[in-house]
Amino acid sequence: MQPKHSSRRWTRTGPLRMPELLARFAQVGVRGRVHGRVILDEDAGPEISVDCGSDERVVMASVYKLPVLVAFCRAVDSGALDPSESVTLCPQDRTPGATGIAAMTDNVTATWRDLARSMIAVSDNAAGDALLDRIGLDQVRRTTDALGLTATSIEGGTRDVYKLLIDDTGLGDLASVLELLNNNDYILSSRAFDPLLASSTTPRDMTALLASIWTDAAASPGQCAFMRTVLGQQIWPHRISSGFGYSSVHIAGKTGTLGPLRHEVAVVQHRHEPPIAVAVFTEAARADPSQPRVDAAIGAVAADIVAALRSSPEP
Amino acid sequence: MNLLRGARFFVAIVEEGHFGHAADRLGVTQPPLSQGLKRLEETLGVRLVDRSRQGASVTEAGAALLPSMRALLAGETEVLRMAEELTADRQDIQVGAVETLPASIATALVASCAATSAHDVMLRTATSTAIVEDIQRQHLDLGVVEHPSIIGDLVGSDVAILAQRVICPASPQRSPTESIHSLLDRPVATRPRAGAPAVHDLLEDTLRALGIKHGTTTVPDERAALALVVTDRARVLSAEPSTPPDGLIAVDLPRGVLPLRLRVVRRRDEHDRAVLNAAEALKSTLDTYRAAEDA
Repeated sequence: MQPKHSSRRWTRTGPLRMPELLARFAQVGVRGRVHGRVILDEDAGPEISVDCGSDERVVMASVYKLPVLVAFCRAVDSGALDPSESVTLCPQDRTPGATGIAAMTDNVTATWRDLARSMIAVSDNAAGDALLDRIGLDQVRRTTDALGLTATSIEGGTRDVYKLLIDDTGLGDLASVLELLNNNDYILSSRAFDPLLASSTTPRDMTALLASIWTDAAASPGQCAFMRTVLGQQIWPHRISSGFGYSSVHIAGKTGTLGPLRHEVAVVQHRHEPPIAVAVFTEAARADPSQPRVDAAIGAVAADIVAALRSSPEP
Repeated sequence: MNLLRGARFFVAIVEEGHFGHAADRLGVTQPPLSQGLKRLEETLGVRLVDRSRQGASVTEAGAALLPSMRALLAGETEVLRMAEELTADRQDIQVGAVETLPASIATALVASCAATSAHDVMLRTATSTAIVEDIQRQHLDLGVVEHPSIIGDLVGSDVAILAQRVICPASPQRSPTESIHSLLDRPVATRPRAGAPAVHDLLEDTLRALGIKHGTTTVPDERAALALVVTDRARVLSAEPSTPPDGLIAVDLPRGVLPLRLRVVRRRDEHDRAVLNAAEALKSTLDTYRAAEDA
């Protein structure tokens, strides 16, 4: 059972604005929007948060897999889905990608809950789209509505994003699109990058979603525990985790990367302290597929946000 | 309710003394005029005009409000007049361009811009970061910035790719077929990183990818950079097509290697035809300097 925390120690009211975060982003040539919130009991008093572009709409990239996870768990709660049911994903039908089942050669058989795990832990495109197909886009949309995420709209999965890119560039295949996407000589414009047309959200909505998972509000306590475990199994060390170079902290989250978009939303929890949800959405100027400076800056920004929210004047 | 519109109707009715004549004067038909006056009276809670067979006569309350209504309309006229003066005063289009845009190309750009309209074109040199901010703040109308740069909500053209040459000290040992590694055997002199951080990082990463290990060194401006080259302490990458100063030579780079990437940027909500035409002119002129495409 997740320990609850009250706001007795916290006396600050209103969101913190941290203009120095904007400087961090400018320094590495990205545009960034963030939100941070301390996850407390419902009756814990005023929200303690960091607000910097928190209500600006951003294209989600793989962060859409987080609402899919929640929708999956709610479908399990309602009995619509048996998480231990096995399913086989065949290479010709599944969505391609660099990680997990999406990157494999042969048929793969796994249970729905392990597909959910792979979708989150390694951002497995095949697992994600298989789950989305099984649950249905309507169920995901009902989930975001039910949880009050009014600034979030899920328009499809990775397969749909790839289709938009292929259609909008007029190139016949994904490999050619990705080559163009990663080339600094070209500006690639596509509906896939339009927050009005592609799956989009705001930093505030994502910290709210994480908070609902950590307070057992997103689904049943059992399923929320499952989600916290799965999010804790995410393997990526290069973004938010890179800001915390010590071991007494637990980080659970979901990255998202599409061309210049580099995101991560995560819950950072220090031992014996309330969990803190952080959402960092960035858009880089460079098209290069690997941008370590940007990833490190995301970690540094997350660390700044968490540090600001952890410190509080004692009453 | 639009008070200005109501005031316009009321004053016309009073001055003409007749609904029909007032409607003619305003270029509307009588029904909307009557409705407009009625709406005004309802909003103000005051009867302004008595309607009779003979026409319209102003009430006591209407007479009391008439001077203020006239003042309101006079105020509107003044605002419109001042705005027109301000836009008429804008004689020139303000363009910001980065220092790495060669002077000869900059003058060609300004000439092409000026040819598109009666407005003068004022060119200011600034960093990519500063140009983007200034356009957002309306201190500039257009910009030629280095790519890749964050342009915020501005609209950017496609990338114009200009070939660069390596500026080295003139020396009998230099051969036109020299390898890039032997050419870049000193740090590349660059402007301060903060002016265009992504461009700077891309250059450093590209040099490393090419196996060039001397990196970059920061200089404040072009002359300082050339001074370092002439004393053989640095190299400069330049898109300037003309002959470099005495004591220096410019050596071609392989096609597509270390180009200068530029974009023309403007505000998204820019509606001034002159500015939009100038932006088009800038882009097409830049394109004429583009390195020849691969077959």
